[in-house]
Amino acid sequence: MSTWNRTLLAAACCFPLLAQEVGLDPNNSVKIELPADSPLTLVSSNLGESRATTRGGATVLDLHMSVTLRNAGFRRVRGVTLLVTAQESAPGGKGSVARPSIDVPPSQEFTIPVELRLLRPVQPGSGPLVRVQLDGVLFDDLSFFGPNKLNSQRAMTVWETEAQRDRAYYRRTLQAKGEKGLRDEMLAALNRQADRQKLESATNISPASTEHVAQYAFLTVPHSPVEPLDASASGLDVVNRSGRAIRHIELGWIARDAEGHEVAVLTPPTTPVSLAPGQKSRVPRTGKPLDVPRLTGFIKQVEFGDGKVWVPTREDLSASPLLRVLAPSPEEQRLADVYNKKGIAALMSDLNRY
Amino acid sequence: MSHPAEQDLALYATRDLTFFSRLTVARHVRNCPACAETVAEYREITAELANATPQIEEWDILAAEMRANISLGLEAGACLPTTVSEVPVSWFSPRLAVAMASLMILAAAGVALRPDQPKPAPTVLAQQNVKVDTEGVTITNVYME
Repeated sequence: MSTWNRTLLAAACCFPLLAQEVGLDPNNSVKIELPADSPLTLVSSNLGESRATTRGGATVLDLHMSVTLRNAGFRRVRGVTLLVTAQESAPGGKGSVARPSIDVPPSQEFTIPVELRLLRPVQPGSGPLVRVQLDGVLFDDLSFFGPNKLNSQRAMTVWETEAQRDRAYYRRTLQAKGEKGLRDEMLAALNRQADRQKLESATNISPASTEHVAQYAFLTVPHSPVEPLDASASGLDVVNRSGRAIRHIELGWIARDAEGHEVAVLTPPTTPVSLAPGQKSRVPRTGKPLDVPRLTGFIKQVEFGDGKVWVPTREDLSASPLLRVLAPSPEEQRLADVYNKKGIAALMSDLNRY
Repeated sequence: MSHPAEQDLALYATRDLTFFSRLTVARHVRNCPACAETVAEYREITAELANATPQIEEWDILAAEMRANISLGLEAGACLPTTVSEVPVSWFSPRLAVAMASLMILAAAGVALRPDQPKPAPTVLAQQNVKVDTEGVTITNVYME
């Protein structure tokens, strides 16, 4: 890059210093749209400290708002995803806010915080700057309502299935080992989170320009409906061992560095697959190239043809490195937060709620 | 005395002028205190900006903004009125018209008969942000569309 280009780029970077920042008008800046037959109704919205900043031809919207909804249906709500749009076509113009691990009985109100930074063109004239739409609602029976433009049904179903698994595990612990046993388990979970974060920051694994992996391996999860057969640079060869049709398989990858430390690699979602019972297929590896001695693939989640999902059981996690390297489920993180902030009695009360 | 264009002075200050233009501007600047001062100001600003650059940390956000602005520019360009020249009558051909109409019908039929494809979910642009509280978990994404 030439000096002049660098100068222009630096000037562009410094331009925000001159940018004009204004608060959002609560009357017409945000439009919240719910379908007519939505099981959720809008109670109120609060723009809080949301700001709009003009930078050149774009407006940067820093949203710090909240939306309060009411469960107008007859089932308990376990998750909601909102689609937040400032601009349909530009990168950074669209975002989502998912709120899993909630439990909202019928007729009860709940609030969803919306903390997003979005971009849109500077357009004089009327009309809202931001549209907030419902993408999906998940209920306690795993039924779903919504347009599902963001594939939020699968994500929320996975989170809820993990939540049911983890709540059942901690309830069993409470019943079998009492308050002390539950406390020990929760402390172990908190320690695992802290160790994992320390290890991830200490491990020297970063994306490379070309992939160089000395050994590809796979991990067999005992109760998985899909069994890995081979691992290579192009992905995992798998076979459907269940008697049901499968429409999506999500892989996870564990990278080992030169010192032998293992961390889970962040990977974007894989493309859908269609796998009949007994059928074999290759699920491609997604994500950036890596330069590591060893990369181990495993089946992270499976979605069946009927929309139900499989996730590893607690026993599967405990009997493998997965419990150590994978991020805990949103529900386990919430339960740990309840224990941290409110104590063991509040945690027991939470576990006994449902 | 005619002065070089402001843009040429800026390019001269950052040594980005072509060889012959640089010689011409250099000769002028040597004899023109006003232009010499302008060049000195450009060099000073360049140095200041170069020092300021490392403090910028939100490169991903900046890149997203720049991509957004490029998209906006392209969209704005598409909205500009285009000049349509009149087609000479001699260009009209019944055979060409029939051929074009047939192609359009084929294309429309292709679109209409195309099997339904599942719409892919948007690609995540910014890293997922997870916030945990005792009542639930909030997961936010910003998408590349």
